[in-house]
Amino acid sequence: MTEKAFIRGKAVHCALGEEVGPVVSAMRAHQSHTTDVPLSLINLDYTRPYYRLPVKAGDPPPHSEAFFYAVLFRTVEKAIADAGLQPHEIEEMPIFFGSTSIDIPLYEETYRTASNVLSQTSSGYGNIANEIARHLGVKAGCYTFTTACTSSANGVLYASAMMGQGAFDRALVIGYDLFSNLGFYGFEALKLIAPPPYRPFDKHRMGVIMGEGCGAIVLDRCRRDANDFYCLGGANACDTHSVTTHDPEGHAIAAVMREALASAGARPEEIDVIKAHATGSYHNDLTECNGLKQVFGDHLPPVTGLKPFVGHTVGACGAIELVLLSEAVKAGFVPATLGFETPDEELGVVPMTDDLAIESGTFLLNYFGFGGNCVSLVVSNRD
Amino acid sequence: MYIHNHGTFVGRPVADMKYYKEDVSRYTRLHFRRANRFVLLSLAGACRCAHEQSIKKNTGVYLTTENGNLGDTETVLHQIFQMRQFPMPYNFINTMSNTASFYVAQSLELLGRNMTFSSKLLSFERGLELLHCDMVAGSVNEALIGGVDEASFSKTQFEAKFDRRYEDYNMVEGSCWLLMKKEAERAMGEISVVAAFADLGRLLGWIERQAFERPVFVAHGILVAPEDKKAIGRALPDATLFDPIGDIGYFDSAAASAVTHFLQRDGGACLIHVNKDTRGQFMAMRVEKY
Repeated sequence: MTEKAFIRGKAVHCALGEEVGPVVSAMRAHQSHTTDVPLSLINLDYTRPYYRLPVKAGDPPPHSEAFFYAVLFRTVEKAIADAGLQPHEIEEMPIFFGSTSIDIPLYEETYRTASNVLSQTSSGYGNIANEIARHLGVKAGCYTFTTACTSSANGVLYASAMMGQGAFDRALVIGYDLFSNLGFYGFEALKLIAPPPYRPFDKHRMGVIMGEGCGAIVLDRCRRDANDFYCLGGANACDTHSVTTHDPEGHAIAAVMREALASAGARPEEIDVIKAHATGSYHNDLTECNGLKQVFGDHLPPVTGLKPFVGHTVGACGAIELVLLSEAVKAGFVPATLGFETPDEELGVVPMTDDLAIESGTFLLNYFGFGGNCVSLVVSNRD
Repeated sequence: MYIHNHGTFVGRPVADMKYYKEDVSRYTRLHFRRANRFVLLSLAGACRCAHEQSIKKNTGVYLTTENGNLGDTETVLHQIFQMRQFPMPYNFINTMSNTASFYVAQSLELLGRNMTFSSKLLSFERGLELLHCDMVAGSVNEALIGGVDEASFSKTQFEAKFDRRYEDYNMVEGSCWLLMKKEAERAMGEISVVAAFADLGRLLGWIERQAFERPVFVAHGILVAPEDKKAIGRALPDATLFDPIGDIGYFDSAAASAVTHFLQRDGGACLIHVNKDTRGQFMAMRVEKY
């Protein structure tokens, strides 16, 4: 990268709330909240936990099209307001949208009474980014990434890389995944959903707890504040081991972390904290820890996972967790891995059990997904 | 970005999935027992493109698509909402369209970049931008890039989306792939420009600045209006009209299809492909066949 991509504006809407300040305060207070979602659609009499968005008075009903766009547009508008963008800056700003479910939540309700709605009426994967462009008056390009849980991380990767090459001066990156029955019942069918508490890297971890949310980031070539984060580098690669799980030895994951570090011009010892993908599933955590040990050896920096605060927000987690981490650091800390209690000797990695006081540093963020997709990003707010 | 090979699998939809499985089995020893139509279409084109080519393990895979997988998504929603049962795990996994780019990588043993990407009506062109970015950055030196889409079966949807008569088009489906390299040696052609324009005037200004050494062909995307075509024709008075949609049929990866169809022609020519999206943006690709 020749030009840096600074985070000029950000917003997040997640289970902890929809204002960045209170969300960070909730993380500092180690708060989290899951909702029990019944599996009544398929006539089962049990529930599974889910990190749902808090219901706000006056909001359209969840699962409605109005709610879908209200959450999306509100989050994006907050990021733009936070960045203080002028109208001409908005107009010229390309959109990088990442999602797993894309427009599925818009169509699901109609399936209660109809079939084949999606293939008869969906306007394609690019439609949501186009709607954002229309809403904001953006005239630049729209890029939609659908690479499962790495979707919006890939958005950050390409937006910052293209900006680094001078393709544009700023970009809007969005990660958005609302609750979908397709995802919820699909994950349960794979027996991946855990009962609370969510505890990645714990010996007694039992799987994933899903979440919904939206993260929006305005990247800009100009630094507004000395404490602003910027993207140093990143990488994407494919682990062809299996469509659902990564190579347990962690070789592919180690390779993508190494490539990300190399592209950032950073040595492993320069990383202050690792934000692990840390889904809490047996295989994912094992694979990630094996990869971490290959890259960092005996000098593993502090490792944390953020999903116990907001759930696994699938394709949105790239943007959401980048906002959560960078804003926590700007507030002076990196949160401990909520819910972690018992080290797992098989993993050989013990995540942070206490918050770490830190105001600046260089951070590695990992994201891995179905389809063998692996992304690592390196960000910093150090001069 | 230099073109080293191309591969195409396009045709009228065939209901029996065995047809696609048998085709793919000619190119790969992997068995895709639970693969869906979208995965098989992707493999059929990509494997043809990679066939008998020397491809490095760090080659990237860029799968561009307008709609991704439709069939398994419908199946899973039907299982949940109508049959009131858990989705079958493989149906659920296949709802994520990047399973197709994964299987392309797995079948060809490619460990590099792996992207499933869309950009309303400009997916292939925007995908080329991502590839160009990775090549400039040095993170990718070789890549397979393709456009993959199932056929549009809905007349209502098609006419609402494009404001065109469904009956005027032969609806096909498939995948069209290019093997791209940074290296020019032994290339069969190149994509020298991929550019976006906010309006027709800027597109025409760009066309007027182009110098051509080879005979020029011009092709249009489905949303390019007759008056746009006339203006483009005036800016390229010596160009021959090239009509891949008329020749092959329409599917939502028609831009990728236009490029591979052009590459099947005799060499020594240049293609200007102009596409347009619903926001009135234009994108142009300049493709040279040596």
